Amino acid sequence: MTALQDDDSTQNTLEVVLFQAGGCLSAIAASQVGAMSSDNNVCDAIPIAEVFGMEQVTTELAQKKLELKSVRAEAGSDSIDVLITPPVDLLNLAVTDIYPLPPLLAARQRLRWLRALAMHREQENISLLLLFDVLDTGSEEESQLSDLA
Amino acid sequence: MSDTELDKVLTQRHEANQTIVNVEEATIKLVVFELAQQGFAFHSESIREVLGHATVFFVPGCPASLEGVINVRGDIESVILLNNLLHLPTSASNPQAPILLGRGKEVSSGIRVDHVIDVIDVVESSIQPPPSTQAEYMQGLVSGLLHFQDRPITLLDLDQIFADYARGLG
Repeated sequence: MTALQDDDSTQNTLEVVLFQAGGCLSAIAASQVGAMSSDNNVCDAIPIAEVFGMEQVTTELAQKKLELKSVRAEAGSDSIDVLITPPVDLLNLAVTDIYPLPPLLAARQRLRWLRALAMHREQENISLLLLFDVLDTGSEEESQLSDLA
Repeated sequence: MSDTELDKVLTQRHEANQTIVNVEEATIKLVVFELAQQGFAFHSESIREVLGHATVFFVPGCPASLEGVINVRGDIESVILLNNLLHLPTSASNPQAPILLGRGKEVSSGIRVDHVIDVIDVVESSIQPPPSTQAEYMQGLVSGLLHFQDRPITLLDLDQIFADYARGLG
């Protein structure tokens, strides 16, 4: 990931795009989102839950199109259009709130591109945030991006 | 000066005291718990903590035996169920049931159990080696057998359990 940044408070943060996928609070680094549009022509886009390998839990029509891109130089400029259901938010996530996947979960989970977890605090509530990374080091994952595109 | 009778007796007692051998056996501490009405135990040094109440966050895309993750004072740990791995019937879902925070040599994870029976000290000799007739799926997972409160307790190898779980068993 390349979107780690220092803000004025010297706290490292990762800017992420926040959305719901498969009924779960999910996020992608903002640097991996090329564009977002409310384009009605969404036929060429894939529901993001499907991209991640989740079960879809919504059939809402109001959807936005998000262009996901790989930022890995040697991977070229692969990108895919995905559908997400609003609300969509931009969030600066403190690095200290981001955790690698626990080893047993990493070994057994089957979601595509799930790379980390975060605890998202909103007022009194704490919820789990699934952090996906379109940037993958494995050639298999890169070919998956090409296959989806 | 010749020794008196009493001197001889005292000398004998002194020598006897020096030959006393410490026969106190080494003890080990175990965390004994119940799962599907059967007794199991882990070595206490591999159990970092017993959590009475913890919010488990669901993570999609995981097997049913992976309940989710918990936040333990700034760390995120997985929570697994051992019923499938140990070929036990599924326990009734109880979010209030305790979670053992297990720490192996390389891996740590929470383990949901039905309830914790006790933390006990037992002499090492009271732990019998696993029987050669045990089921194939239990081989490697069991490091010993003992009796506690008139019931059999199976002593489990936490590292082997984590290793088997990670490679898709259970």
